[in-house]
Amino acid sequence: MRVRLVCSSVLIGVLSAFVAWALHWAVVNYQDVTYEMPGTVTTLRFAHGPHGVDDAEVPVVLDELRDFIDDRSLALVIGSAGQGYPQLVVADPEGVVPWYAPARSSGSGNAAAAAHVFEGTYSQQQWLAGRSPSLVPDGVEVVGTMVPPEGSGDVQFVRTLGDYRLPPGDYVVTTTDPAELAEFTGILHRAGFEARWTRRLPFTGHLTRDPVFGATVVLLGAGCLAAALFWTLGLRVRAREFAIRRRHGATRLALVRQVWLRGLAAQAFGIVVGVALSGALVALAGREVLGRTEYLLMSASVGLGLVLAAGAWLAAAVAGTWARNGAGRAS
Amino acid sequence: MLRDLAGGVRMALRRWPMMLSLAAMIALACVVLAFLLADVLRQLTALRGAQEMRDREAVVFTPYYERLATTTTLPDSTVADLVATIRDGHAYTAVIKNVRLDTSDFAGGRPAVILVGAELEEMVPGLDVCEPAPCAMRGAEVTQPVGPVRFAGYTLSRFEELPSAATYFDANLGTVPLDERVVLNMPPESLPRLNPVEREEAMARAVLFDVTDAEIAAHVDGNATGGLYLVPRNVAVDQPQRLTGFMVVSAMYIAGMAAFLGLVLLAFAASAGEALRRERAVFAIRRAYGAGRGHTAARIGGFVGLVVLAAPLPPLVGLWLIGSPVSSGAMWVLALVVVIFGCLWVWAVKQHSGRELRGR
Repeated sequence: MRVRLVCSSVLIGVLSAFVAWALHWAVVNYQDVTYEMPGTVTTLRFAHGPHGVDDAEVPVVLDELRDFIDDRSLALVIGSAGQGYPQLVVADPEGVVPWYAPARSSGSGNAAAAAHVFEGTYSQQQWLAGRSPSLVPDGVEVVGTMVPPEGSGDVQFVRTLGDYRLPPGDYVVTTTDPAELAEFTGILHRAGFEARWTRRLPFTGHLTRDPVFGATVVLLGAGCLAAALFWTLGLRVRAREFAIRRRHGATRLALVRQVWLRGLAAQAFGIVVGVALSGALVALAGREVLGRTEYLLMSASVGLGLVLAAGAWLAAAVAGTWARNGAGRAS
Repeated sequence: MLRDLAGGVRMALRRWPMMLSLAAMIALACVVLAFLLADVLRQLTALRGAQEMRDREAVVFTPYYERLATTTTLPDSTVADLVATIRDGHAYTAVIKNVRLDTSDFAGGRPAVILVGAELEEMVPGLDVCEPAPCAMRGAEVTQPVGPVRFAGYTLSRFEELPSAATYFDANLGTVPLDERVVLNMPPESLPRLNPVEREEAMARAVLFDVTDAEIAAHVDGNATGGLYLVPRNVAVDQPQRLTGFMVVSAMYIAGMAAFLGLVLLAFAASAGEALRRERAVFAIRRAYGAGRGHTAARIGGFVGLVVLAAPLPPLVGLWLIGSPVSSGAMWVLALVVVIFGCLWVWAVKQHSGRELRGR
């Protein structure tokens, strides 16, 4: 039985590692779409509307937008979504966007006409070579570099919301209040845009809509059921032994307790082996040494696997030691 | 023997709630595994396809458009520069998504792909392009004759047939199947004669190789002037990073599905063992009335086969018949299922023989 327990627990360990990694991917994916903004955010995609906007109106609307963000202590990141320059535009009066720290970067001058190129980009290479980056608009001076946030993709630079035409794209704002969002959409409408879609993104909602995470949870649940069936049938082979012991005074609870406790060590060993194999697989496929995140994920996988497997093993112990007319069978 | 096989099937059907659940889980795991394997095999093919691109330090571009709704106005000089680079054998390009969008009956209404550049055949292995340009080809599944096609000042009336499962590799799109498409191989001089949308895509999909940084910068600068912002990416640096992420995800998927399949098979093996134990008396009576080992094995084969083979085989064969790209994954999983069936069958027969011997 111990070999059976170890083998099946190895498989449960692999499945719990899969769940932990799926959760990790969901978190990274959430950071991608929210540009690592804190709290619950709303993403609105704006495209140029048919009504347009006069040049004279642009500074007025921009002042209105800045006042709106300042008054409500919000933060805004505008991603280009394939339109306009490959840039991010940030309005962060409270300093809550973790990766955006223009004050700490080198350079000076008018903040609105200044840009920071992202590290590792083509524009940074051009800037370091002393050239004016061709993907940065004319009149914008590159004053430093910044580490890009998760999900920035091919975006080349970031600049502060300034007195220039707002770009179309994804507007990620740190509010979910319908009244604030209605006011925000109204300002953007006056800037010549129309909203294509709005997506409120609490992490729990993001997680429940994540198909990979959902699938892994279902797989782990179904896998535990299959393991419980396997263990139950394995214990049924000992039905005669359990019946004899019951006849000689052993209580049902004592049998379950004994069977369950004796199996836990083998289970724990199997789960640790399964998680370790998964970690090795990740290192092999990713061709890199595992880091702190991976070890944390592996620890979480072991914890999750132990709890679920112990529960399934308890169910199997209860079902496997149960025998109708057990005393009669022994005779 | 057939009656024994049917007897084994009936033996499984008598325990239908358990066996049906296990069979459904095995079938589901096999189908998902087939899709995952197909995806991994496709990506590995793409990786092999990009080997030449990596070796020659190819540079590809990610486009950002000034306004999505309107077409950019690219300078003629930038287009002319690309034409010259293609002629010199340092670039090729393609138009995949925007060929004659305004003409619904172009190429008989079939989606068309434009390829430009003699070096393309060398850089995209496995793709035999007709020569000399201009010339045309049709995918293996384009069975209806395609009438003469007029494009960029050329009339193409002869269409060579591409081999089945022919693909084009694009660094942004991955593997592009050509089976249902008409492919036009055009000379570089045709680029200025493309319509603005096609020209925009041709500039964005250009692949430059063995070129200097100044030439890359000229391509980026020229297009940026026209409102098409192209972010260059070196395939040799960029692709392995993307592939590493994909391989980690795929490895976890495949390991997870294999672990799930393993647990379900363990549960089935335990159930089969229990069923055979309960049927021991029936087998003994049959043996007493002349049933040989072959008959017993056939009966057990029918029992195991119904759960392990009957449920996953139809969807897997269906996926195999659909063709590329999922067929390759389905084929491997089919082979795996047959091997698993064989192992379980042999194991179950041995278990049964052992019990019989112990019984004596």
